[in-house]
Amino acid sequence: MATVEFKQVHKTYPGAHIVKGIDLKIESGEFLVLLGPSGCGKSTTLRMIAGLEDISEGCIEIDQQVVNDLEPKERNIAMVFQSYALYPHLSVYKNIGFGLRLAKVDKQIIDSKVRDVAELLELTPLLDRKPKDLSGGQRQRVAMGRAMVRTPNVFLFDEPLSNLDAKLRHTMRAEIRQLHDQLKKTTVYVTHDQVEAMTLADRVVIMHEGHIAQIGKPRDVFLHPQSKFVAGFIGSPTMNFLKGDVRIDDSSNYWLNFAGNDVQLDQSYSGNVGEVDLGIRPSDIYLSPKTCSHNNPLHEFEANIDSYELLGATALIVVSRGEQSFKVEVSANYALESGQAMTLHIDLSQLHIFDTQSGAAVYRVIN
Amino acid sequence: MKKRFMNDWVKICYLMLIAGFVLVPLLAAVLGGFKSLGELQSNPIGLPNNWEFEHYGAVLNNPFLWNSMKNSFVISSMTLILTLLGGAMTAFTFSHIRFVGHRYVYSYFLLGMMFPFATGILPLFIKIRDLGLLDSFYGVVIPQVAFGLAMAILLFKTFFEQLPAELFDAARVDGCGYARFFFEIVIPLSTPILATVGVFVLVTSWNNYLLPLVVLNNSDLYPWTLGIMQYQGEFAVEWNKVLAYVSITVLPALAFFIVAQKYIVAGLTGGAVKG
Amino acid sequence: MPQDTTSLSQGKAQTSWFSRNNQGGRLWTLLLFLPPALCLFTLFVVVPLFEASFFSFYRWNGIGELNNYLGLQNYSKVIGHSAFHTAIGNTLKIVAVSLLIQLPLALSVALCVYKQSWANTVFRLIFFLPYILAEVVAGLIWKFIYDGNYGVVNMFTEFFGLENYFILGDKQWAFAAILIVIIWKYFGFHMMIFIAALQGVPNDLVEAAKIDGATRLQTTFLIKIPLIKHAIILSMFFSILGALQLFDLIIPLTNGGPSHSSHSIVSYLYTFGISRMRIGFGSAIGVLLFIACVVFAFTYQNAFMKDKK
Repeated sequence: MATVEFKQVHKTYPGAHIVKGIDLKIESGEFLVLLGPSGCGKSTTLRMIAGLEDISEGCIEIDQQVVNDLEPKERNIAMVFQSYALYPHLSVYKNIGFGLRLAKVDKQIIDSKVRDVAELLELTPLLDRKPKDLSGGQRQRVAMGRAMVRTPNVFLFDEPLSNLDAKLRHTMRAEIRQLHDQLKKTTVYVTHDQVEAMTLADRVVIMHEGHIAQIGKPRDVFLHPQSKFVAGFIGSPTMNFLKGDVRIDDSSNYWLNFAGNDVQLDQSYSGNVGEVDLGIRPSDIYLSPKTCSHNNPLHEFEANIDSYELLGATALIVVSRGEQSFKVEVSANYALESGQAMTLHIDLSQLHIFDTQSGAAVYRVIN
Repeated sequence: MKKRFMNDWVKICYLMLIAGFVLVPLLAAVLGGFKSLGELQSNPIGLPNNWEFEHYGAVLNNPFLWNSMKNSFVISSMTLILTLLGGAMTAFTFSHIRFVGHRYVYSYFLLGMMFPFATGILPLFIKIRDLGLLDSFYGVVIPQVAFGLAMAILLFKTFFEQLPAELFDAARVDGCGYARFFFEIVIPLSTPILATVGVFVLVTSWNNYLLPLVVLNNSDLYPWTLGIMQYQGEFAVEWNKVLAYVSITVLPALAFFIVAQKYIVAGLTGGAVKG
Repeated sequence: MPQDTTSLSQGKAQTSWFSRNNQGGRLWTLLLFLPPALCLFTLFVVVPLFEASFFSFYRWNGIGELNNYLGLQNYSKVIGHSAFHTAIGNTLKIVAVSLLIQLPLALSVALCVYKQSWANTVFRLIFFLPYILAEVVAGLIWKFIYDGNYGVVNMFTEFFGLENYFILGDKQWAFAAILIVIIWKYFGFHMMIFIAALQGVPNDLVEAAKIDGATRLQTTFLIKIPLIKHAIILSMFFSILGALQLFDLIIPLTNGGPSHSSHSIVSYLYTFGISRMRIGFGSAIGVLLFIACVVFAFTYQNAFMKDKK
């Protein structure tokens, strides 16, 4: 069991500042997911924990011990790579046991450990095969076996599922989570796939341009994004952003005007008067008030359908009102077509308002 | 359809003609070893009317031939091992260690490929003489290795850089250092390129003539290329003997060619093309 | 946060330049892996090259002191030597024959056999065969073929009732005979370069041309050959560099004779420099050869091979 702690960690390359001062404490046994678009520094951050990248500034501690100058093998970590990075010339058995062999562990102990791990991952019949004779899912499991056999304090995953097809990804995701529940090892998992992050993580760290944009439980980052970036990054289909205008009336009530609508904001509004960015998820707009399951205040307005796209159980329509257009996710049961005019209902409790300058969230009804 | 058929015939005739141009001298040489001098005069390329095996027999019983073959084998093997090892290790420092200035050092090696071997041959001779390596295999092997390095480094570096980067990361996490990664992971994964470079080095060394000619005086140390010239000098006009000798020296190369043709073509053309 | 700064500075203090760079034994490996090759290469390839340019200003037979400074005399002697002129002329002949006969031959053959099939493989191997033979072997075999008393030449002269004719002893034709051997020995190599390139021509393009109504000949000249231009450029490059450095083949065939009419640059160097132990004179030839190679390589690469890199 181990904690991992970042203290003002920077990573710079000549001409590039990749990680810009990260402070983060990962609790013992926690499953932490680093999520972000490509180039946000999440992989670099992971590789700094592993010791594959130097730490330019600041320090990383594993179990209260500064590891900046420790070799990867001295950090007691194990890592699963995107391409699995299995040694092509070695059998599954030797791949799993390679690290132990290098650590000069006794042969019989290696044998029993490798066989235990193989048993756990259902790899026993494959031990003599070479990586090229395995399917994608099997390779993935070998890569995990290689990590597990060393009983590390911290597991590191670098986009381990991105080379698998959708169906297999789903199964492996469940398997990884199940293994974590079984082993209860501190785990840091890097991905750009928000579904993976949502389903696997105890906590999600969303990174953006070398900074941490938000840390929180999956539900929190979805429901309460602290910035326009997080709001736009999490959720699929992505959140609608509209231009809005906030004014204050004589009795100190804030009013928001957008797309020809006027709605009153409650006391939690902490922004300024003037132009704002307004965010509303496609799933928080309803065709009929009846489909909204909770008793939230709704705002009704008229709009035209520009396009209709069937996704399966749901459909995505793009509607426009005046200059502004936005997406609405509706049940596939509705028979809708382009050009149709219709009434929509916005769930006002799900409105997000962001400062135009800083992108910070300035309004969110807490419920 | 008819036109196509004609085309194919023209093509096949053309290829047969060229194949004849290539093969006739070779066959004439092999068959010539079975002929008497008289027959060689009247019938230089056809099958012998009267098969004489004694010329081949004499050559096969000639200890000088076997000794020169053995010398060539020793020289080529030493050159092969040292070039592969030195070239691969050096290439690894460029592909994975990437020390400060590695690009310059790499270009320095590559420039060496442009130097014609003959330019430095006289100073090289003086150097080998001053090092006391005249009339020793090392005097042939060491310059051969030095001249083969540039090509080997070029091909190895390209290959090593194409190895997945995550393999190195995985090995680091598993506790591998650089040297160990090289010997336990890189080398076993590099058999195709080792074979390609190896063939190039081996054939070049096996066929080398100028360097041993300059370095070796003692005919006991002669590689087969010098041996064959000496033999030809002794039996100048007894062509049946010379042809038998020539044909036998071709056999190892031919056998090697048949066994390893895939790598030979890759090594001799690919090697040159990448240079 | 004071405790942060202390642990931070501790982290820094532990880091010496060496240990920071020696992670995974990086520096040790470098020190073990690089110097052997570097020393060998410098000592036996680079240094002799510089020494050659140094020696070329002296008269020296390799023994005793190097004190007979001649300035540029060796160079003027080489440049004024008629045998050297012949060697240069012969080199140009090799270049001409390579470009005008050998490469078209190699290309036409490559076009015939580049597709994968059993018969094509056999042809390819036959054509490549001379290339793997040692030059001395090729030279000796052809010396027999050209022998006025025995070989194929003799067969013709007998057949037509002519006198025995020794082509390699004929000042006029000896080098022409060598040129045929050069084609025989090396066209397979160029063929292989072309085959590799032709196999890289996307089949879509050839098929598209067919659909556009191109004949076989038109697809060859308008699609395939333009698409393997880089291989042709490369092949010309090797032909010319090879011509500059030809040696092994000359020795068994003519040894440069008769009366120095069939020398290549290197066989000239061997005959007048090495075998007579004229270190200075030979080095001057070597330096001229080096300059020719480097100037050619750079100008050629700048002119034709730039876009490739």
